Amino acid sequence: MNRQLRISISPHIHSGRSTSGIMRDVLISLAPAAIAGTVIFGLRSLLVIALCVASCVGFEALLNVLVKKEQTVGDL
Amino acid sequence: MSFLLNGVHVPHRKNTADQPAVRMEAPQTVTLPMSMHIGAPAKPTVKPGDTVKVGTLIGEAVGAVSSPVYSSVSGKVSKVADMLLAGGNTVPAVTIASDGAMEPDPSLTVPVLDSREDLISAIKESGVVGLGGAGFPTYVKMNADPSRIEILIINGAECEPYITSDALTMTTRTDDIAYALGALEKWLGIKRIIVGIESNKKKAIAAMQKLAETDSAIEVKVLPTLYPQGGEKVLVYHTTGRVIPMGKLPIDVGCIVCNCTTLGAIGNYLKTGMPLVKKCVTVDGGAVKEPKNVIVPIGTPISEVFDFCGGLSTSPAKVLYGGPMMGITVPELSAPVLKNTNALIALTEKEAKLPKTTACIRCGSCTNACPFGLAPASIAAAYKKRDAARLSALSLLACMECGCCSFVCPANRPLVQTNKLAKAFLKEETVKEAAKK
Repeated sequence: MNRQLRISISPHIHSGRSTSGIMRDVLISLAPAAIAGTVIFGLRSLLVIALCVASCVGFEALLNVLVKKEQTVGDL
Repeated sequence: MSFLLNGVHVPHRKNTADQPAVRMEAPQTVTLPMSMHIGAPAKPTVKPGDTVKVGTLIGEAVGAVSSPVYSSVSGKVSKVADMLLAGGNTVPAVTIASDGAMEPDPSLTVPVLDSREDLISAIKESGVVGLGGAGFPTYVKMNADPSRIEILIINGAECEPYITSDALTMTTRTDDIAYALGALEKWLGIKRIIVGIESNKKKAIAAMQKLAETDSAIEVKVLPTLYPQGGEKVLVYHTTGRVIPMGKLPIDVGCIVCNCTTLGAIGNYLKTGMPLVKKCVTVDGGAVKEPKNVIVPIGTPISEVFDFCGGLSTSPAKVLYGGPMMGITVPELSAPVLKNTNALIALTEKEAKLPKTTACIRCGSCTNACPFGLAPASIAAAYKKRDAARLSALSLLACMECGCCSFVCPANRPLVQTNKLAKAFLKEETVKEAAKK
């Protein structure tokens, strides 16, 4: 049997949705709350957000390196 | 109908819509597998050297669920040998070298119908099977106890991308459909017929509405264009509001679902006596130079059909029998057009490329998209642990394998593919449990 044609199980098309796409939408939906928090509670709240984000992304990146898996921080 | 079942918006890509079908000339050889249907393969009735004409019987139906196979060309049988089909099964196949004349078998006669049994027998002899793609022998479906049949639902949904052959049947072969309906109404006593068509097929809707004006039993229901509108349980719900319980069939709620092209084929047989020997196939996909609807003798090699459509512009990455949501990949371009082939889609490398599979993020898109409200992510987790009890509790056997879940998954996880494996596992476990008792 010649193998030029790929054999695979349906479906053979995809919606194009991606994890990073979903998470981008999540970030956009959180932006108004972040802005409101900063306006109401001051710049310290922005610092809290920044610290959270940095440590989450940092530890995710670090753990991926430690267990020798592909870096996943790009999917937001 | 109280509410719309979930589904997904798939790209339409109906590039061949509004194009009349073009007839292909006789190929040099045709290969007809003995199984182009659900049920037992037919048994070859010819041997190498035999002369056949168009419509000559070459395979007889075997058992209660089967279908006869007829020659689609006139010529000589050159080979009867086992063949590996795209679905993975091996069945005998009859290869016929065409003499180019396409001479019809002179012994063919228009069937005489004097009873319901005559009609069922005629539908069986026509070799017609579910032409929406599933290939279930239509006479078995029509042979249901007539007192149980309340509504005949005609499937004109054609919800897959690219495919337009059913729409073409509804617009150009309305008289064949009408002829079949006449016989079904007369001999099966069917009083109500609902034609379900997706809203994007304006011409087909108009043609069927015109037909409905001539017959008070027929009603056209325009359905939202949402995949998988053509799935029989979805169609029955959207046209009648009736819910088919898991593991049951449409007849259990008084309905029979029949594809419009299947009806057209039956009508043509009842009118002319010529059994199913040719198909209107939508040929499309980025690798095809001139997409069109082609009338092809069954058994024609796919490569010749592509050649008829201007040839392939690039080497296709995948060729499909059927549409991209539920179609089967074809292993070789020499594979034949089958009875239940409604489309040949040649996808380019770019079109066939799927995103990388990453981790499940528990977003719930799969459950949201599932027309039956199943939870594919949970099913996948249960399958990973081979937990048969949990799989059963998740109503895995209700899955119709439409592919909505895999289509929407942002991580492109193989959800429906896992469901198929899980179903096989669950069936094995059920058999094991039964054997223990």
